Amino acid sequence: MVNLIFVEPSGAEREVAAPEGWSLMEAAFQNGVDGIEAECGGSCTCATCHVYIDEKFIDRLEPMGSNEDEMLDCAAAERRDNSRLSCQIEIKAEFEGMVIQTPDTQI
Amino acid sequence: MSEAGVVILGNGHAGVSVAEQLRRKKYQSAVTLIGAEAGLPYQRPPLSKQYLKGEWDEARLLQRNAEFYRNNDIRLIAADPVISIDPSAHRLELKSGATLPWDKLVLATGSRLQKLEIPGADAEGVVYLQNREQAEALKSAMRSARRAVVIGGGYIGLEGAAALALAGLDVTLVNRSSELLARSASLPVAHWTQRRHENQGVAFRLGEQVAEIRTADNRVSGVRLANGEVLETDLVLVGIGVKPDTDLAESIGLACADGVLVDQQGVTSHPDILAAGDCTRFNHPLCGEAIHLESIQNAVEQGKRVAATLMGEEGIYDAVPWFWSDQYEAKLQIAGIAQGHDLEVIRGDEHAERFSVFCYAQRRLVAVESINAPADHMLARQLLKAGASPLPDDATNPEFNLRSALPS
Repeated sequence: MVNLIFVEPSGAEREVAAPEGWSLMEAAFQNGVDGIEAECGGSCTCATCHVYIDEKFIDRLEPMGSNEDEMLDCAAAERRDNSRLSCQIEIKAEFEGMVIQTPDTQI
Repeated sequence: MSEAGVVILGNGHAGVSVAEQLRRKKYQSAVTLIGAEAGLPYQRPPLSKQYLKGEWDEARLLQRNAEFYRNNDIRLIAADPVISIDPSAHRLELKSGATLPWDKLVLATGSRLQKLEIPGADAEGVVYLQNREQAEALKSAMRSARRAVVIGGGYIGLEGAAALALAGLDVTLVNRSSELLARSASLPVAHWTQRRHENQGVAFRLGEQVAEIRTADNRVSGVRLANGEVLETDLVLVGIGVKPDTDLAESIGLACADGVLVDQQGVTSHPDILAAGDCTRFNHPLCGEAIHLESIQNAVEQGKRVAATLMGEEGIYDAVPWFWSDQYEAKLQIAGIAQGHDLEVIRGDEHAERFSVFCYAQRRLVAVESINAPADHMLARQLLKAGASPLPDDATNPEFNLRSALPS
């Protein structure tokens, strides 16, 4: 299991343990983290699992695909350099301690 | 308020949404979620996708983990369906014989499968795909089968056919209508989907009826069509649709019409009984007649509206409907309600890997169906929400930025 820290829109921090191979979105969703809607269940079709990734980790992620890039342009909250769709990021052991910020709104 | 609180019948996406939203909104009394199946509530869309392909295990299929329900004080009752409701006493009875009081009741009973009613339909090797147990049965039947016949050309039939074809089976899909997705997508999208499946080796018998399941030792051996053709097969997957499950609602005299009728707040004809998800029929601002939707989006968002109503919040259910389906690696996404449209125009090339169909009714945009065009889909949802209609000529112009049709 990999320990991750999600920061909810209220500022509250939620520590979540999730298996390698799951997506960041699934880790948040199963634990009911506030600020991630994930309406489409992780098929990169809704842009409601938008998150801001810890700057320290951003270069360790797989690069985003063109679908994700297009969807991020349509996300409800501001797109930043560290914006990603959490359903497209597979959890790896090296993510231990990663902080993931949720945006104010997803819809 | 008494300790009885809100009792939710059905632990699918709508039921879980109501329970979760009540707690997010700080509802103070008891919340009870009752399911007919054993185990924790799980997600259904992956049953015909990742779960069927063996990419996901049971833990990954769950909607929320056990800790979530504990932390949020949501009481779960599993494998014990409700058998009767007494509206005047505000009580209900479970199959186990236990009775429960409720202040407010939410029906989230979902859909009931349409069963195949032809000779041989109960043979071993004839499977359906609505719940986890059926997905398990299909998964294990797939392992020993070489050939499969899929009956039904809707989303379940097509996603099932894709999983079977990818697993290396010879697949033939039989559909009563001469077009796939007859009730739910435009012709360009239906034809694109058919070509995509044909490229994968799936054979089609369109406009054909099944007459009989042939058996040997009560195991399926073939499917005979009404035209006399016999398709030899080891496995039959039936996906001929579902009906809103209104049995309990009708048993207590709630107004129903192929769905439990609810108003725009999610309330049934009884003021203390609400309903959400696949089991309902309701008026939507985007559509002239009462509609019934079978989708995750509707289950989750109507569930949210029901929770808001229970908390005394004003407002109506007007979320723009949307839907998605995975066809191999391709994404089919639909925004809006295409019922009764009179004009279709295409943005992009319908023979290419990426395009969208814009559907208009009396010059008003009512739905957009997209193949591998997620940005079109997202903008379509925003356009429909805003009540904005790009001119058909603009919608087909690749140089036209759809965003500019949004009110500023």
